[in-house]
Amino acid sequence: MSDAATRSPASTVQVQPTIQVQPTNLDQKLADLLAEQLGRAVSIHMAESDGPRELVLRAVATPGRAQVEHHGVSGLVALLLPAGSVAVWESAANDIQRSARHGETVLALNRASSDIQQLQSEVDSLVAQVTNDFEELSLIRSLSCSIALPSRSVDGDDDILLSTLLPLASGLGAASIAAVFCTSDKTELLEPIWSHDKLLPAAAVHALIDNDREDAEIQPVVRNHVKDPAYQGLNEYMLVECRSVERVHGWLIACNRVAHLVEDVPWAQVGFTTVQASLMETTTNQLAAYLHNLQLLKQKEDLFTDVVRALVNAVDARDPYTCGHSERVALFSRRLATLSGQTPETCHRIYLTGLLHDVGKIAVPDDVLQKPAKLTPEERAIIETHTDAGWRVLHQLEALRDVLVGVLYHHENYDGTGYPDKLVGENIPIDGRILAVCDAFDAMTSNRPYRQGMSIAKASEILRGGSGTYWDPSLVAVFLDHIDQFDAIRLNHQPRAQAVRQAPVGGLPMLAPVPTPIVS
Amino acid sequence: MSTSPRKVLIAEDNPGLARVLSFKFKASGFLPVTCADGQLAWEAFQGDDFVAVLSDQEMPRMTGIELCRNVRSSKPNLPFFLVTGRQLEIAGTGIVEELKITQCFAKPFSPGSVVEAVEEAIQKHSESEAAVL
Repeated sequence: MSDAATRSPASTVQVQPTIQVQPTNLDQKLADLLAEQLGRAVSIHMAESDGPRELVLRAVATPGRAQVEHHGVSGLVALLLPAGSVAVWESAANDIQRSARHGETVLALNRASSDIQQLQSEVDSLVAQVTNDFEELSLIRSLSCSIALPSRSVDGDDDILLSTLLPLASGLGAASIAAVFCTSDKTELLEPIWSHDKLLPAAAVHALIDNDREDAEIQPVVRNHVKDPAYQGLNEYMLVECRSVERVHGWLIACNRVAHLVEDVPWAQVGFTTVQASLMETTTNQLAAYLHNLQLLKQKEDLFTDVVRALVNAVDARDPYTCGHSERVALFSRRLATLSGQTPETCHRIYLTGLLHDVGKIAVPDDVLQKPAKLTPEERAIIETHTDAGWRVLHQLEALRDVLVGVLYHHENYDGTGYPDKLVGENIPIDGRILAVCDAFDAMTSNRPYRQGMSIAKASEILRGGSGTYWDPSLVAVFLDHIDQFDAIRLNHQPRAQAVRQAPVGGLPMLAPVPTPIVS
Repeated sequence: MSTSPRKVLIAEDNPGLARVLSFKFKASGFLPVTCADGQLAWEAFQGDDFVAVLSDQEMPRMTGIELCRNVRSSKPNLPFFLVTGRQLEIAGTGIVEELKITQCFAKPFSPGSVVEAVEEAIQKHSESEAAVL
């Protein structure tokens, strides 16, 4: 593809074949029509030529009105034709007026029918335009709907893409559209995704993008009459950059205008024009906005995860002996929630609550929190403030509002003897009841520096014994029915290693974060 | 301010589009004269006074750019607009600058903005003419 060939208007901008409409041709056709309708020989005269000069001049002066000239038993009729010449025919004297009116009528009818044709073609053209506009409107509307954000999962990008590309291809009249995205570091182009047939090998598509990406930064690239052996089978294409704010996501390439879509009217334009380019640009911008939203959503979720991790770290840093407790309680609680038939949303919420349930221990002094012996009643009272403290720490975080109930009520007892509010039975929110069972189980079975953890059998016995007193009996029943699963979770759980930061090198700080995701 | 209608020449071979433009210009107080190809437009231009020319690019017998070249031979500064599906391909060829084409509109266009741009160009043109006189 040579740039000169595709960019100069002389070659890209096609000139329609020249149709010369000679005025005399038009008048000749009308003279023939008159001859046929009147059944007489009709000759054509110009005002300045020889012939019945005076009669011709009179006809020129009265458009639409036939003039007559008597010559005994016969006479001549003259009628001005639209392109300026005059039709003349002979008629019997007694019939001359009728013949003159007849000629006028033939001409007027012809004029009216050509006017009708002209109007009809205008109407057709307007209808074609309106039809196109309807198609375009409905395409844009349907794309706006299909591009709504997914409610939960970020998967299925390809589906979204195809649900955009398929209608777009038909809206543009393109044989197929290729979408090519780049890796987030912008260094590599990914495999093209085609809406319909794969028209070019991936390498050729990538080469095309490399050629045009600079131009595409400024405006959509439209290339008609592509005749390049490197892009065999590609006749014309449009390339549009898919960009949001500061990030280039990729490119969309609409290939080959479908031949049968080119309208059968003289003013139809071949290949892709600004009409298709602007539609493609609009759609690509919508897609870019969608991709940008996905990115923001992902960032938001990552930030949320990081905040939760930081809070869990804060608790763990205070009480290294119980390290891993929060994570295990989270895993147990999610399993127990699942087993007791909670919705996936509830299970996820209870998992998060499990991670954060002891966050209030930040407010408990070290000597109480880390005391390796039995607590005094005063110390116990201090420990018991951690549920309220947890609520205070978290209640201003809108994103964590849902976990407050479990954080606050995971130490309520089923018989109403717990804290902080002495709630009874089913009045204790399900999050709190589930956490209470799991929290107790982990406390009993985990090892501490000053004591060995209990056996599963012993812990099960205690749970059974406290069922209905401390814990919700139905939850204890489910828990014990699936005790093997909980034991497996416990045994498989690897406490996270504490992140270790690099020491300064040559007096310069080496800050390289080592992320270890814990929120699944 | 003269009260005679301001004539705008519209060269467009698509009768539907010609009708739309003509309708909008009429509604905005202009007297539009539409021609179905560049040659007819050039003939009409020579026989009358226009305040602006609006032309398609691809037309039978004479293209919009050819028409502009002809117009420029007698009116080097008259507001001249192209309305074309080839706007992206024409941009960057330098022809818009060379022929002092006031603006190149891409199809589909907003008839309202086209008329607005024409109004503005006419205003500017008459101010600069007045300054010369």
